[in-house]
Amino acid sequence: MRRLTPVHIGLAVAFSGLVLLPLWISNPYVLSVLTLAALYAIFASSWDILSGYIGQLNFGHAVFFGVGAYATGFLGPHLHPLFVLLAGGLTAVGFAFLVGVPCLKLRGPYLSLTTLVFPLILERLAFTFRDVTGGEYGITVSSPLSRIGLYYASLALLLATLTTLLAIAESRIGRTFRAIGDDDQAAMAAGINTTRFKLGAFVLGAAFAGLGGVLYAYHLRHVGPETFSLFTSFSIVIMGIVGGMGTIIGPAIGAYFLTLLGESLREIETFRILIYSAVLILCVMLFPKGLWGLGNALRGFIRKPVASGGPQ
Amino acid sequence: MAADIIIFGTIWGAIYTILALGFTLIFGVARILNLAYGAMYLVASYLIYSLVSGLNLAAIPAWFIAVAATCLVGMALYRVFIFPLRESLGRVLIVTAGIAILLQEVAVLAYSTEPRYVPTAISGSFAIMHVRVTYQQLVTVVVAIALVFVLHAFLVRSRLGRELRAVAQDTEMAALMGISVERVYLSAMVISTGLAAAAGALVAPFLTVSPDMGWSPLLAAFTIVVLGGLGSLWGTIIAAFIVAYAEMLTAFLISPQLRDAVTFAIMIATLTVRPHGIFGKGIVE
Repeated sequence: MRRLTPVHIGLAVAFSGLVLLPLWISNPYVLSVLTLAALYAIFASSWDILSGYIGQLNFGHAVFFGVGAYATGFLGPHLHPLFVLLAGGLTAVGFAFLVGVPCLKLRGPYLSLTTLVFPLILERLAFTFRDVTGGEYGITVSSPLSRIGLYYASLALLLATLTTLLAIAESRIGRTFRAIGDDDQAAMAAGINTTRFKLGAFVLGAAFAGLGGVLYAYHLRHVGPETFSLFTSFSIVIMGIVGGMGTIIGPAIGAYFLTLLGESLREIETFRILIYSAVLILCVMLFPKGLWGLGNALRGFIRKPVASGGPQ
Repeated sequence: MAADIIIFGTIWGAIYTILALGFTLIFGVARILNLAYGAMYLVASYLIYSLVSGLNLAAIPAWFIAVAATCLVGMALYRVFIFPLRESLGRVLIVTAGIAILLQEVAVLAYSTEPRYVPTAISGSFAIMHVRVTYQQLVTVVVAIALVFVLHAFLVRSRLGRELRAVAQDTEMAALMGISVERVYLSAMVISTGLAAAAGALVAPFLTVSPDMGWSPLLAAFTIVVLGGLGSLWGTIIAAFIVAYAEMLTAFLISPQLRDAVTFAIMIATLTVRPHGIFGKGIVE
């Protein structure tokens, strides 16, 4: 058994709170915002494996949940929801190979910009082949779950995503990811097959994003080309960075923080984007480790006088 | 159809050449991948629109004011945001992306998402091979070619131009020779911004101006730099025309909506198959 860390305890408390929340708050709007926040948290934490651990900033995570959402649009009326979920995950994994293989030799900004254009290509294709994709109107999706059912389904998937990714991140595989992120030449020299691990990180992140994409389509009751838009991808990057990269939980916190902040100021759609970009710039300039790093720094600051005096 | 592709391909090839030269200048000299580069094109276009439509200024002075003002924006951008993060390519990438989104949203707030039209400096048109070409488009091509010559002369003959090239080749050695590297970086940023602004100002009259217009030129410029290699003028020009003709072929033969998609595909294909560009002097280390 792995030991329980403060992270696991915090996670348990936070989830208990989120599970019990609908008992007090029955406002459907609040519930819908919280569902969306949970879905974004799935996308942001699944983004973190490649971007935070291997250190290769993925600017196009929308590909993975976008194809999951489109798979729901295409297959939703024909299959049982569980098979739709499976199909969404598998489609995303397929795209992880499609995006990951060209990216294997690339790093830094080249990887970022290559990943950036993949969803944009899909966006243009969705606009062009309108008889298949419905063009700018997209496809209407009917949800097999009620609003509250979808809320709990999203929470369950978020919990599964976070615990799985945390377990992987704390395992030997996670340490290998970090080693590649620190210095991939050195990792290669140490006998690590960096290609396989990089591709593995793509697949792992994509799988959870694809599953989340299915719930995303059910939640929005619609899937359209805007899923692949530049801003959709950037939102995930912003949530990950603002929350704190390389921590799995940090990006999920960032997703909740920004979704709730954005919703509370949502008179016009554009204010949300404006706030996201302003928070991003502020964060990169002042707190490059994000909210997670800020929390750690605060904790360190509070504990310092005690820790320095006591036996270590 | 064939005539359309050749003529519009040529017009866009000229525009892309100056866009890519500006982008490669700041990247080659200072190793800064400026994702807000397209936003400078956007800022210049909206400034022209405001000056001409709002203040009733004549097109030519508006053009110069807009380019100069955008250069100042670029300078401020460098000083405030890029300079403190210079050491990390990744953080510069993120912060410039954030600025690009921020400026785009400021444009949405100030001008709404409605596309705007900028009146042309010279109206009228003529026909080549039965394709209608406006005088504005002709001016765009002529100015773009002139800018390439001016930039080339500047880099080869002027003192600052030589310093720029020296820093691009070997920053440490250039610093040891007494060149103020920081001043060179700032100059590269200003010239680079100026080229993006010039391109924006040139195309604004025959395109519509809208808040999301900055991304396509940015990604096209990046694709061209990847394809043509760094520090090669001819490589950049040839790559710019390859991308422009490929875009026009797609736009006229398949669908205008796929115009960008083909550029993105060229970017992915080049980085995957020939990461050193078609001429071997690539940017990917």
